[in-house]
Amino acid sequence: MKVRKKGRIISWIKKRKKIIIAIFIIWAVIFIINLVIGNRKPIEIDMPKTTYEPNTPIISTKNTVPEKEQDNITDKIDEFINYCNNREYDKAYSYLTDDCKKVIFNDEIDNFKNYIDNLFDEKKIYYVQNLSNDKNLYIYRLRLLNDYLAKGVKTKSQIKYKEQEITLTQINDEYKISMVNFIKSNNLNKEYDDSYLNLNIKNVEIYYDCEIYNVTVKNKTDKTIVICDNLQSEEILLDIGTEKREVMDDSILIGEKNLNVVLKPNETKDFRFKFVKLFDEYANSSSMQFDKVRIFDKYTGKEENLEEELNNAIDKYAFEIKL
Amino acid sequence: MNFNKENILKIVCILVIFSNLFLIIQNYAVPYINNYKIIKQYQKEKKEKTLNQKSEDEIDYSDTEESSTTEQYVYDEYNDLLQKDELSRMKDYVGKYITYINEKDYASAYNLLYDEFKSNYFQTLEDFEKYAKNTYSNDMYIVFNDLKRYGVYYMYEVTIYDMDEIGQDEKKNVISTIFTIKENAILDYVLSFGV
Repeated sequence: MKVRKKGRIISWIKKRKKIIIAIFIIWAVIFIINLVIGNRKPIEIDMPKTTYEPNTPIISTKNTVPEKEQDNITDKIDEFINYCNNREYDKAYSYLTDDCKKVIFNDEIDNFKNYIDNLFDEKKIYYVQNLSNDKNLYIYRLRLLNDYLAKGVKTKSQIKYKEQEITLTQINDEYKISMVNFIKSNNLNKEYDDSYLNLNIKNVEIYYDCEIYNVTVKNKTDKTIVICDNLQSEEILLDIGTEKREVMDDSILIGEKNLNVVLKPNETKDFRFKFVKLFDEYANSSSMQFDKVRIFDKYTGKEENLEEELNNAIDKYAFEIKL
Repeated sequence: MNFNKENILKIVCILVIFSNLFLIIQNYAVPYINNYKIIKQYQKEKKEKTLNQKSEDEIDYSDTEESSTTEQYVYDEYNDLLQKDELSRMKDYVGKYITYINEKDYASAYNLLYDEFKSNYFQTLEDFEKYAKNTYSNDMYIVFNDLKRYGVYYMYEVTIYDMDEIGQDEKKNVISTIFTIKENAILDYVLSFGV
């Protein structure tokens, strides 16, 4: 019985072979057409013409924001700003990178709260513009304005904004934010040691417009060691390949002025060496040079005594640390 | 009809062909249908907002012919704005506000304002009407000075003059202000100004 049934089915198929093939061909054609149409981009709803392209980099076009990531990034920024506006500090704080929490806010949410209260003194509207990008790192200029749409504004002089660079970094399929122009930090632990001193470059904080190196210097002698006192030029330099940049006097956040790297006998001190360096220069800092190290028995630090003290210096030398 | 296997096969085949053809046509036609629906929806909401603002005695039940003319007007306006750059569109949006004020159509002008702006300054239409009558002259014309874009926000510095003072050396009824406009889509915008 089974054999007969099987025979009937095969015979039925054989009789209608042409029809079945025709149906299959028609189905295949329609299937392919549907597949092609299904993979086409959907026709976009008419959008108004605008010059605003927040995800187009305006400083360096070396790398762009991938199209599939653009919405993720702008949504993240929007959520962060909304949390800040609504004073949802914990949620906003959780959007920051660990680096940013540590370096900018010293891992203290109270510091972050104070900063946000100051920045968002009233409800803000904002807009962003992509500046440059590097691998999974996207840098935007953020401008915060008072909510002029709700308040109304009469004159141009009333229009003010606050501006800073923020960076979105992809960490474990999620975007985290760095703010206050900070991008990231790198541990270095590059050391120089001689009979006079030990100098350790612990890490570097990379900002959009500068790099700050955290350095510890130990005076191993009973003399005064001067590495930088601003009485001479080019005392501490950063070699970025194409040129050498001089250390800056000021230091952000701490509020120091007139960087003086002067160590009394047997003293150990921490310093922050700041150098101008734009992130989108895409230049690597290769070494730090200390070109005017002086060892003194007697040191006043006064310009009028400079020549005499230099002549009487126990030693004068230079050294370099590769980064 | 004899529902044998052959006929059933034919019916299934025809259904498959027609359903696929329908899907193909729909795929091309849907965006155009959706756009038209958005326009109709906009026109309907605009009308509802205007009706809600008016008193019962003033309710105006437009006849169908007038509705279709309005729809056509909105459709034409939509397409016209679609072709314009942002400078021209912002001029049109601000110009529309001034036109409504000139026509004493305070309800329509009020509807253009951002909700939070209304909450801050004109909680009711009456408040706005009072402000408009005290501030604006009977017939105004506007001079557009400078447009600045701040992301999706536009700020247009304008000077509003009294038409009755054209040609006069001394103009008394001059208003200098900035219109702030946020455009979500064509014809979907809100604005505010310096009070």
